[in-house]
Amino acid sequence: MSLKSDDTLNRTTRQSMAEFGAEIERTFLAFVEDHSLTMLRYALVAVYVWFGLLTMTGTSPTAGLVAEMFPFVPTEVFRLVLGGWEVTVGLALLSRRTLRLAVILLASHAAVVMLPLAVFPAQTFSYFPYGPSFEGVYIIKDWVLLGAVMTVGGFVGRND
Amino acid sequence: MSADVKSDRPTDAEIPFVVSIQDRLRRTDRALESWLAAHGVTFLRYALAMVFFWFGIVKPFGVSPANPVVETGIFFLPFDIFFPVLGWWEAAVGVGLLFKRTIRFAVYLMVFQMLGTMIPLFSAPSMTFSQFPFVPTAIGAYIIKNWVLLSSGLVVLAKVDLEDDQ
Repeated sequence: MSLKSDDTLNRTTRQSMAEFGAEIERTFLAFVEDHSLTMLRYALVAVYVWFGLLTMTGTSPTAGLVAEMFPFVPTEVFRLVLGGWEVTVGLALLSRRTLRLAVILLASHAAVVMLPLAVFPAQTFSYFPYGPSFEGVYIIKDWVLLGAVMTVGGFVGRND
Repeated sequence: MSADVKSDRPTDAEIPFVVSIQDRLRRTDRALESWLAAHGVTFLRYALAMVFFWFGIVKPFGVSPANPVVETGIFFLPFDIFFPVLGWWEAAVGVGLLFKRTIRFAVYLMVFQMLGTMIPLFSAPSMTFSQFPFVPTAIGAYIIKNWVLLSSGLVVLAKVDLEDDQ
């Protein structure tokens, strides 16, 4: 086999591999374009309903800390209210009519559950202020969840 | 009741203050919707960037609370090498999300990392669940939240206008 034809073969192989890669990327991007919002919305529904129920039954990892900030409310009652609030957010995300209600409920929820970062830095940070503890990272992740609900609230109604 | 039955009672539309309240609610809702549509994705993008960079960069410096999760859940990889690499990987995702030119690359990195974080749910269920599969422990809940982060990354990729800063 001459050097030239070998070279041609390589070029063809490389081209078809590049095309294959581009094909995979196109498929992925088309999926992202069409379905990412729906995926996000149902991920949020699952997380809020599921973890809301856990809060109500007292197995949420951070509800205890949040409840400690309100010593004048009995823990049991507080858990039920907080968990019910979360379940409501999750259910409200299911319908377009109640999407904005979910955003409003969640904004107020976020304001409350973020408070332990400021009120109990000893529990939420192992190295204040750059090294959060496990409770800390769990709470800080809620920023993303808040942003996600805001995004869903802004887009879902208008696109379809 | 059929709609054409005339009643002496005024309908909602005939009571001025009800109409004005409805109007105001509708206007507020519309304003909120367009505000969210304009800024929701931006908020989401920077929240993701912060979380990824921050929680990633603490790993190689030994102040991350995730050590036991990775050590137990990803027991089949050498922890001393994998953990810092994972940290820098996450930090790269965080930085990549900040620039429109690198968002796509960052999201690709993120998809692999995120699918990896799901492994402990199956490889170490005794650590991630107190009652499999419905009652996760704190660690399990932390991992499950990643579904939202992963979908968020995809939404950012779909909704951020990648062309406008070039």
